[in-house]
Amino acid sequence: MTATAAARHVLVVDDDRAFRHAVTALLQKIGYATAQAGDGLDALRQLSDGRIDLVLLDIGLPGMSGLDVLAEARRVPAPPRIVIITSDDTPGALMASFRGQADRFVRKPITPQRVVEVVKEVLAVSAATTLPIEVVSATPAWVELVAPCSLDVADRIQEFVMNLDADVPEDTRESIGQAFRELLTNAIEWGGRLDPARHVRISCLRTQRMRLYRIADPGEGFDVGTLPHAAVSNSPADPLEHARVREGLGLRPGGLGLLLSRALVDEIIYNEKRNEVVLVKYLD
Amino acid sequence: MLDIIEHAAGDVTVLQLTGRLVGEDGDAPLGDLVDRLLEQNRMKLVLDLALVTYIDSAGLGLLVSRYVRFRRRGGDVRLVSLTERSRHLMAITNLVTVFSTFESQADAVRSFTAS
Repeated sequence: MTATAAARHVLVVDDDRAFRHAVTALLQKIGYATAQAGDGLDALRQLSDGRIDLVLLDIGLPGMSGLDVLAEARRVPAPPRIVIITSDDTPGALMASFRGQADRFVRKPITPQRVVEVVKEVLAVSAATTLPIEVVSATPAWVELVAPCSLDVADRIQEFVMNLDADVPEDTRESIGQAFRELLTNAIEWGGRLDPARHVRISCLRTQRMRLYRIADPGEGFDVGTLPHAAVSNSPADPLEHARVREGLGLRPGGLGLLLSRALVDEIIYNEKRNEVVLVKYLD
Repeated sequence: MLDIIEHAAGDVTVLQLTGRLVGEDGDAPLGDLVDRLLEQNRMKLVLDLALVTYIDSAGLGLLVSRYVRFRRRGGDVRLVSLTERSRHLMAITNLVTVFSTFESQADAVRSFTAS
């Protein structure tokens, strides 16, 4: 049994018996306690005793839908973490899951490795510290969110936003997702000072030929000329220059985010104060 | 989450990494483990990245910071089995010019003997 799996209870809710059995067997094998439900009512009954830490939840259930289960599960005294695992790949299902504060949205088919990875990722953050994300707009063309400045929300937002781009070639989607996550974590860490009482505002605009993401942080902005601890300031002959500066300043390892982002998307534009950034990726 | 399997090949330590090499606390176990190797004066390190599914800038930053520490003390960190994506990220950041990379653990271990 792994240390992370010890004593954690996972409920698998799916009307596909074979899928339920396969996932529970997989999780039991690495030490999780598991339970199963084939419909929403059974799932809610099992959630009522407060022992479940995580629910892997299908949307297309007989009778009560998974989205209804998600809403009800948020009202139980000790709400579990919830990962939607579904073959319903419509933007409506995705955004309804996000509005319902699901922790992750994962499309089927899903590999066993990804199941384990998602379970570990989500359970690594305690339910008590999970912070709500406000959904300001949730149309497929314009998603706008307000999120607390906590790094825990970055993976959650990235996964949801990238699911909106399921129709984009994988390489392009990965590049957009990585650049977006790098700039978002910069905004949360440097602009928001990792203070969950402060917020970042994120807009994702999707046109036929372009993806545009805007991230506004609550910080004072920065001067690009004063970033010797960032790899964008390195001389071409010395890719490690920033690392030595960071070590001297006692900063954690890093400093490569802006350099990476610039190479992964087509345009990165900052406002004058540099506390708002827009990244653009053209699709043709 | 990153899973790490450690084994020794003579005076070379090989770490097989599985999962996401990312910031937050995701890379802390790797950083702690590598620092412990430094304390034990095990200065020859091979990192096998074949099963690393995602690396972010903080994960790359961790590799860089430990590389700098090893090199300062006369050691080295060598990389094995980079995925296409990891190789792309290393190229973007110009780190391909810094790290020695190999196709197999055996090649990487052997390179320490040869050098």
